[in-house]
Amino acid sequence: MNTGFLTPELVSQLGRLDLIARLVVEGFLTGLHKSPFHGFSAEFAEYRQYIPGEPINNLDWRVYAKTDRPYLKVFAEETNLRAMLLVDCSASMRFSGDKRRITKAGYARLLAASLSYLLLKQNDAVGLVTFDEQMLSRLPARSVRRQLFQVLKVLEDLPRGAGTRLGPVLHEVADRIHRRGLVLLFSDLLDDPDEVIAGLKHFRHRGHEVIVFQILDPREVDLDYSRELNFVSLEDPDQTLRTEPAHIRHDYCERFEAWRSDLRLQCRRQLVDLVEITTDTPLELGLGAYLQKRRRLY
Amino acid sequence: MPITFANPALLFGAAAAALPVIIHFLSRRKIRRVEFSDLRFLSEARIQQSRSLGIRRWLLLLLRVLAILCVALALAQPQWGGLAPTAGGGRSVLFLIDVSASMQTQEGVGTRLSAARDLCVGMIRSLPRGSTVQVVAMGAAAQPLFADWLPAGGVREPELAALTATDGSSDLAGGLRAVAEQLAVAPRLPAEIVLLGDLQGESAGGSEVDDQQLATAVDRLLAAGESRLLIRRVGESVANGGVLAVGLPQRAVHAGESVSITAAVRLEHDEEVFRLEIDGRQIAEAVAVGQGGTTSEVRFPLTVPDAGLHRGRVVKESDKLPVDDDRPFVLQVHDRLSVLLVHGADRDASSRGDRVSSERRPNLEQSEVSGRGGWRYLAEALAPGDAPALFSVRSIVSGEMAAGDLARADVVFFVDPDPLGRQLFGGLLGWLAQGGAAAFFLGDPTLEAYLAQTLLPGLELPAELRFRSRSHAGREKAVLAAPQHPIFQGFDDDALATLGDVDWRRYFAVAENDAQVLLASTSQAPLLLEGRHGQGTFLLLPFNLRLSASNLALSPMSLPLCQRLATYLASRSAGGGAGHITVGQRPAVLLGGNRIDADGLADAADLRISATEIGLPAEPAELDWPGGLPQLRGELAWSAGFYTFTSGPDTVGVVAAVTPPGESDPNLGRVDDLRDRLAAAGLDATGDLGTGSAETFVAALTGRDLSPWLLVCALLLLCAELRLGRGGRRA
Repeated sequence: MNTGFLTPELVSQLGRLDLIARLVVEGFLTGLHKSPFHGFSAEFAEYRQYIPGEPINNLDWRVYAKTDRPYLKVFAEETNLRAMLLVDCSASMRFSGDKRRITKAGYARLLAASLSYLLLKQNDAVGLVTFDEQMLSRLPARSVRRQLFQVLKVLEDLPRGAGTRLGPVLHEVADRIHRRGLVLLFSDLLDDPDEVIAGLKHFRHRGHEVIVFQILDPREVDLDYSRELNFVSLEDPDQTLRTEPAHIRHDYCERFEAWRSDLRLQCRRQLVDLVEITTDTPLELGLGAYLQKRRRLY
Repeated sequence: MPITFANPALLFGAAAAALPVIIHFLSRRKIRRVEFSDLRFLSEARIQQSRSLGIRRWLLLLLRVLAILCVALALAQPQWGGLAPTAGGGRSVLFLIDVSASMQTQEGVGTRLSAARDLCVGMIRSLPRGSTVQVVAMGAAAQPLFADWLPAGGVREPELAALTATDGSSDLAGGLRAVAEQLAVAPRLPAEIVLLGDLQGESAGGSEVDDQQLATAVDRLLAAGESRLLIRRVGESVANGGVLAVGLPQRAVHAGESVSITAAVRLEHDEEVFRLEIDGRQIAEAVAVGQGGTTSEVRFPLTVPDAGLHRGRVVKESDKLPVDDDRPFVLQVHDRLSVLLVHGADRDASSRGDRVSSERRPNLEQSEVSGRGGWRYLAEALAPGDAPALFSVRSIVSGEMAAGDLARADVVFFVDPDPLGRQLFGGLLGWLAQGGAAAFFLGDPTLEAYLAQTLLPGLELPAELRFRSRSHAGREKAVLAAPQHPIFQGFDDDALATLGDVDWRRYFAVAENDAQVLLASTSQAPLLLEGRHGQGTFLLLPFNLRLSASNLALSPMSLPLCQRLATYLASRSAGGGAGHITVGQRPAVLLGGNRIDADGLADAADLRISATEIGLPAEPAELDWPGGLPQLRGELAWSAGFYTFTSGPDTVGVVAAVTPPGESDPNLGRVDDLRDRLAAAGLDATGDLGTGSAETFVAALTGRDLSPWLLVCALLLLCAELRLGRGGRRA
């Protein structure tokens, strides 16, 4: 098995960062993640004023004796995280604007592998789903050390998908994940935005924390071509378009940015974290930026 | 203006302009296929931009092509308005300098000619090394100043001093012919022709003949070699007065007669004095009043001096152009006019020898006017026996006439002549064409066929005639068709009314064609026609003097009218030794009439012409016999004044040479008018030096370098291309 993309340098860099989930998910193992079930764990979290009617077994009598006020001791229980990685393998993800640059699918694979390593290092459970128009493979979430190799094996042999239909796939995956956890979606989201948002809503509805890594090639963003070209769609080779990119760049960028803005807005409304990464961004920086952001928030 | 190229070989660089086009089409043919993730946004944007895309693409292509063209042209160093240099860089420049009378106009410290001369010197000095120069003086005849083309460095101011103005006008066609001759021997071509002058005579359109001559000269010039004509007008409009023309009595005058001499003048000031001088003595003064710059007429009373040729002048105070302030003329006073009366042989024996004397004239009502056609009455009318007559009448039967008889007469009258032989008729027409004057009384109905077939066609009149014979009740009156004609001048209204009372019954109705009708019947049939044949004048009266034709012989106006016909014809006759020419023509006089015996002239060994006033020494005069008349001629007259022909000690002719009136026009000719005239003749006068200096001349010679402008254009085009392209890319 080739695990070349998880270089020691990258892993060491990621090791300085901690992935801290925004929401407490269910889990068995004690870890870095906060449990939503307070009260009976080892780690003291806070004092809270007692509300009449509550059970008194967590009442701190010492404080009561000293202050004559009832306070409850609240404990935060450390649990593990169930993370499900959803990797888009559609044809559009095979796009690279430059031969020397990694494809979007390749970038997604690296990113997913990195996060898998990180999560598993924290004893979190990691699962993996690959899809294009439909679900292609599914690896249930586990926290065992061996799971990393399973994940990396699937990632290394990512299937060459066809078109993109994010909506149905997201619904299907959401239906299959019963326990609340973290959903990490690696995709370019080049699909009907309404369907994409509907799929993400489904996850949110089931209590999942969702982080979307929107992976784009820089040339998709700025259409930086200099001469007249005959564009061929990766998802439908029969679909071609001949134009001089320089002349439509402005309009293209406006439309593309409007689409991204719409996605941003919809994700914010659904409390979905959208991380926009281009494939020329160093992997460490992309991951690091995201993780730092999460640490600041929680 | 033509564009020439200093490096024409580099024009092939213009082919590089095809590169963008080729690249454009090649790139369109080989468009690279690029895989793209999603064409959704591309197609949406393309729909929006597709309209302007095509236009912008072609515009960019155009800008690139133009930019390359500009650069290629700039490298070839185009010259606007210049002529391609000859091998070695030198130029062949021919200066065609106007030496007409108007170039004598004083402007500043010098004349227009001196200004042109200075300009010419400056231009020659500014010519590039290796240039050669020729100068042609364009007067009435054009002459090269140098025997051959000279190196520009070898021409100095003194050499151009030989350029002197004449008193005549310039002949543009002649000038161009002379230029063509010089171009044929030019050391190198193409050549620049620089016309320097005030353009007064050249710019105005000439007659049809002049235009034809100009076109011929232009053809010759174009055939002589490649050249370009540059025009530089010299001078400014000045206030100039002058005597434009002198009007002499339009009839022969005799000593002691009171006449008036008129002069058409142009006023320099609102009021000016003009003087009449005869033989060096002031005779009269007249004041012309009018607005300065306008033309007017002055009239001088004159008592005719003794018989002979008198030198007269109309003079005004000298102004900036003196040559037109003194206009000479020759007044010929006849002692006795020689009249030859040619008539048909009398048919009626009873009328032979029936002379009509002045004593018998009152009884004419009872008797017939005798002689064929009433010729005897005419002879009596011209030379009444009881008074000193101006006329010396010699009557002769037409059948006995010889061609030499015409040369000895000042005036010839034909009265119903018998048909003339072909040779004699040809001699008559030749004599007329050389300036003879004759009157024809033709009223014999038996002559109708001769008139229709021979005489009228010979006089260039229509051969249409019809004999009209009215009854007494149907008689017609006469109407004056040209009352201002010299024949009728001096007659008062009563006299003219008397002429109108004459009855006309039998006459030929003829067509006038180009002849002028002076007197007509009430039915509009001409009764007195004046026509021209060559340089001669004839009067046609399609009736005779018999009382059956008209009662003119009974009218008190008959004698004055007949005499006036004779004096008028005598004044129109070229014979007599007096002549008027314009400067630039050859002085010539016909020695007809009784002034000199042709045989005597033939014996004269010393026929000379001189003009002492203008410094022309006596030179041999040329004698020839056009139309059987003795004619004396001199060389071309270059100055205004009197040219005198002498035969031994005798003066046999005087010619007054005058400056053409057009030369005294105070307004200069226009370059555009001259250019139009030349263009009509087939020559494009491409260069206009305006009023520029020698530097302007050099600029016109070499043209303006367009390279910097083309490079700027190329730069601007590239900027536009970049801006448009960037705009497209930004879009």
